[in-house]
Amino acid sequence: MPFRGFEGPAGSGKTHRLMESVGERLAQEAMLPHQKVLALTFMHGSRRRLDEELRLNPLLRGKSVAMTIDSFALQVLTRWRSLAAALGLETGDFNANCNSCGQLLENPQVARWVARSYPVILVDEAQELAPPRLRIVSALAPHASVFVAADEFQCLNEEIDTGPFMEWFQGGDTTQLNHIHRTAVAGLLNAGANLRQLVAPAAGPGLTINYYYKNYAPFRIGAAIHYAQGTRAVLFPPAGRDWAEAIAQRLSQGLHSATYNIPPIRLILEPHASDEIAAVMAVVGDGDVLTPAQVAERFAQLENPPRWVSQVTAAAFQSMIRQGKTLWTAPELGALVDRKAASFRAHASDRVRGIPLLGIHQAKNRQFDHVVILWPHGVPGSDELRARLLYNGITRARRTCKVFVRGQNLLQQAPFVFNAA
Amino acid sequence: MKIVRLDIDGFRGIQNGTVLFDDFTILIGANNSGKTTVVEALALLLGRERLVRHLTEHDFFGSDPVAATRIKIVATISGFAHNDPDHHHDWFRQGRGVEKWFDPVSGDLHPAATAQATELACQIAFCAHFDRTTLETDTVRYFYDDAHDDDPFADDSPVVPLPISLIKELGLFLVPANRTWDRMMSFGSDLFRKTVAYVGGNPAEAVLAERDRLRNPEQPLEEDEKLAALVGEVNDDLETLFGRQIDLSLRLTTTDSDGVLDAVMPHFQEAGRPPLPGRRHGNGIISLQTLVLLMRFGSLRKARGDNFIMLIEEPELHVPPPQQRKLLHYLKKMATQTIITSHSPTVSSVADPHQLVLMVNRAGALSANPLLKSPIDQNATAVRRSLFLTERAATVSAVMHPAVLVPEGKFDASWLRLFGRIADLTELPADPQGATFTHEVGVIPTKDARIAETYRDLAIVHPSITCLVDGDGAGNDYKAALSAGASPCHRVIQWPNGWIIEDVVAWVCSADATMIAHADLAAFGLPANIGGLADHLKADGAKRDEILHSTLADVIVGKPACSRRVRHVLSVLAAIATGKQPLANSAQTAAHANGITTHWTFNDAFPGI
Repeated sequence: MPFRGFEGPAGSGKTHRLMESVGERLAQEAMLPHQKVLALTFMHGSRRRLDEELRLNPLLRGKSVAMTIDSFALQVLTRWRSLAAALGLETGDFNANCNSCGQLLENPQVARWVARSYPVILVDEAQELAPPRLRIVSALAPHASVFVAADEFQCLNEEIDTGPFMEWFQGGDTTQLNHIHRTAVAGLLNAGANLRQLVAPAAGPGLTINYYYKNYAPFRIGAAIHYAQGTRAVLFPPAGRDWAEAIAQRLSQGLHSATYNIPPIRLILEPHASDEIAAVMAVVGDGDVLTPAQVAERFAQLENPPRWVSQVTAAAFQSMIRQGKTLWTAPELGALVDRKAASFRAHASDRVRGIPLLGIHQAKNRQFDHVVILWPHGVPGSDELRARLLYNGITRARRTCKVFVRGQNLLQQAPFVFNAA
Repeated sequence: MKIVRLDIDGFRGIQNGTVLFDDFTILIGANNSGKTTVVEALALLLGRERLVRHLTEHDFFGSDPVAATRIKIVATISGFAHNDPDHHHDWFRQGRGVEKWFDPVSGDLHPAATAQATELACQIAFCAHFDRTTLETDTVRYFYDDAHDDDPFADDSPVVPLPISLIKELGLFLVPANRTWDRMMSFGSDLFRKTVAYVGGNPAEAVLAERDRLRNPEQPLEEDEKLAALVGEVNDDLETLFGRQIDLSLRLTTTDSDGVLDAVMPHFQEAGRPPLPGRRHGNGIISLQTLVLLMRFGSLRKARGDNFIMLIEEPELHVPPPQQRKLLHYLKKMATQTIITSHSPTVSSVADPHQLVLMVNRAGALSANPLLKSPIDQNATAVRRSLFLTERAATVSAVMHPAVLVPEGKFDASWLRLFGRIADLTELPADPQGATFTHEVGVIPTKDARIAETYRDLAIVHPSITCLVDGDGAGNDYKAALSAGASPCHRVIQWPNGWIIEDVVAWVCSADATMIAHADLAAFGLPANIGGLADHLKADGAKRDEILHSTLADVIVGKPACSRRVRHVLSVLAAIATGKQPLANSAQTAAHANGITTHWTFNDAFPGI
């Protein structure tokens, strides 16, 4: 049986149709009591959101498990390490693990082992399936009912060659979804459609694209946020973080002038895990060898310790009691910190108090009533990648999207204008 | 399903060891070889928690566990119906066990099926860790994936806990040696309740009726005229103290249905005699009845297609010899798998040689090998047939000793047995070397002229074997043969030049030349001069005359100088066989060029003997 595929632009209800058809599959052929639907995603954030959606679905509630592909790969690889060793498979970074996991799953005994627990597997945002991860999904497809949703245009990683995925995706029983459900606002719909064709987005109902001079811009941005009703978010593309932080700093003080009277606005920068980890590990020297007590002392120096730091010290003390490990080298501690930060990300909620300030990558598959996009100088990548970034930003909005560019000249460049070529 | 392999690490006296199990297996071995440890390891992993007492430091090998010390017990389960994981979702799927493939010949496991590894298997483990801060032992049962990177107590350990439902599915029932049969038979006991529940539930109506009767007895104790006064006073006191009326009543049980079930006592009645409670019967009858109940339960399980694994410690302790064999044959039929530990040659003889596993524990390293790798067949050599069929009881009791001595032939074996008897009868209370031989060395009844083959067959089974050869040309040939080949013998003892066992006997007798004139020996026509005794004993008739041999032994017992020599011979043999230094000058040594074998030659000119 070929897998089921759903292809369509942002907001066309791919996830919804995915769930719906999984529900139909379960109605036709019930699972055994111990079996569950396995939902695979790429990032911890989208895993949590998918998990919430699965829980809201009466057919799937309690019968589904959402996992990131990477943790799924690590789990399979760990459990089957005897076979992996016999086959000479390697573990390493996420790509190596996924590739090895894919090779394991190409053995029917391993794929069937997974399918006995998860006879139905769904993969959202599958356009990000680089070859190692694609290998996992394609190896499972002959043994389980696989449901895949993808939109190639939403792949934001230029390093991923989406060719192999698209080729595989064509082999499925795929439905094209063209109707956008997320929004009915014309300006947003048109801009989205244009950007997919690499055609300049035009301002229109719901969408503005503007430049304001430096001192005025914070007021316009502040007003856009302050007067909006509903859920709001401020997004920025790669290279936009400094400007976004500067704006956030300015807005936090409140804005007052003859015509504006805007109270302080709290924009909360969603921390990047890697920044947090770097900040924590900054108090540990490369050559340090520390006891658990010393680790705790070092971490006590941190000004704003991430919430998972206490779990790191607790684990260090536990290892002393349970395994007799009394000393930690910097690399060992680094690995522990990575692990604790990752498991925290996997389970912590992404609800923040205040208005989220997000990179466009971080905003993937989230949606807000009102979106503000801060577009700086020097956004890296090709014209097409910039179009994809802006597309991903604009399509997060249900009602309005206001794009602010930092320099007037930016309006004459991609993704706001495309050369005829 | 059955247990095909057990790996033990750091549990009690076993630092490490592996035991392979057949459908029917009897574990034999010296005391302290770890038989009970194996049984309790199985109970820890596959039994109810209650079967084994709380673990303490002494349960860890070496008794002083540090943070990283672990007890690890891994059982390999095989015998899955259809040999296909697709039929066993509860065992093999993501979130449960990972399938392995078991090679029944080598006992090895492979991650994928091979031409040899054909049996689908699941490995499950028990691990314990002693927490030096709380002074408690943490334990966990889990699916065992691979030795690499496997510590269930590590931070973020990926191990998957073993659900109790699978343990129940295996249906392991332990009959321990320290059992209290009476408890097992009472209604309160696990076994009976389990059996009753399995058959179709408690006799609820009868229990509730009995409960009500016990709540409202026709003649309450507290109303008995002899008690009434006391009870009245107590009631008055209570009322004074608490300010309200609280009445004392006396009931035979806790007046709930649990109390009724706990109070039930099985009675057994023989024709024409009053019924007696179980505990008033002799042990034999109780244990048999309990086993009958257990087997009934087992056959019920089996009839329903459920698993039933019996684990019985030393059945000979409580079951009288006439019933032992019958019982074991019965068990073999009833259970999916039966594992027994035993000291008894009678019990051991129920099993085939490949089902008899000899356990030897040397400083924590457990070796557990079946007497034969595969069932004995028509093509078996004469040596094997003799060792494992005709002389099995003697072989089994010999290998249960910590050290084994393989003499050149059966006359040597029978003389050494007589020597042992002499030593036991004449041993001086303060003799520091006393009784070592009979306690620690088992003598194999070697088939004549087959010492090398016998050695090779037993070397697989027992790690501590010493060979004893004659001081003649044939003895030299055997010595050479035993020192050659892939697994040369560690220790070969040779009698002095020109000697065979009869020369040893004559040498023993010559310590007191008067012994030959003993009245008991008159009928045997021995030479008048003791110098001729050796040749006489070597002649065909006398060589085989067991009456003469035991009469000679009896006479030696009465002659202190002679029995002194016997004890000396045995103490030298025992010291060498158990790897200790014999008395200085009692034997010469020469290392063989193979670097492994040591040749010992007995010295008959030892001063003072």
